[in-house]
Amino acid sequence: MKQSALWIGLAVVVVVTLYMLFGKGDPMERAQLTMMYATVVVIVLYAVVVLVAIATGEISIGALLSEAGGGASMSRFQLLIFTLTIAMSFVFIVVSTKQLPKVPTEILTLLGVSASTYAVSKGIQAGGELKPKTDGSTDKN
Amino acid sequence: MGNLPQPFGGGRVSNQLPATLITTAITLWIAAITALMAWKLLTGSIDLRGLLQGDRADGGVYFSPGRVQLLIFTVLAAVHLLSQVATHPDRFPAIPHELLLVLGGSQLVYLGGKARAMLRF
Repeated sequence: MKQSALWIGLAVVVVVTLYMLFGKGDPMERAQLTMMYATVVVIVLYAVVVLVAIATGEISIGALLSEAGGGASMSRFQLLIFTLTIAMSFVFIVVSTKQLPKVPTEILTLLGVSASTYAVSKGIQAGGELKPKTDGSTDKN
Repeated sequence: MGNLPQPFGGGRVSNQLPATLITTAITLWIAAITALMAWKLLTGSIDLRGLLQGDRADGGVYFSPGRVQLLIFTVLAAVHLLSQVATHPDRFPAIPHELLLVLGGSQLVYLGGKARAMLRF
């Protein structure tokens, strides 16, 4: 998959370079278009490569919600649910309005609250793992 | 930006084309990753074992009411958001301050329980 993406990316670079050299129109405008399309194509290719790698398991996300000591983290789960919810809402809105929506402050606040909970939860987890146990040992296990 | 030249030919293309392409690419990718994540969650590819179990500093686990209430409020908030978008799909919904306060309180209950169990005070 990565090799295919590499060849496609190379082909795109060749095409835009040919356009840059031999296309019609103002040179500055051609240069702007070239940079814009080339950047978009490269980013899209990388995004597709990552997506396919996750789908095929090459990038494993099985432990995405797992805490250091095992078991799923509730704060990570909440952050994931809110992220997916906002992403789905984004897709609905773009399909309906055919343009990128404005993101209200309350949505950012919601994500911020969830992310803050995750950060504090990590801190508590780390603090608990460092705290000496009743038998005097500090081994996390 | 003004009218942009058409590649390899005469005439002009709409200056909306790049913005449309970018918007379409972003939307498709977000839709795909969202569907993929939801699928992985529902099929168990993402490990959810122990989601409702709290950890103690001594390595023990316990059934955590704090996690249960956080799960309930999270699901309720997500369903509320999606229902608002389904009703008015032209914009992100306004989230009531009361909902943010309830969620904040729920987070505090969860964190309080976690701190009590992990830090043993």
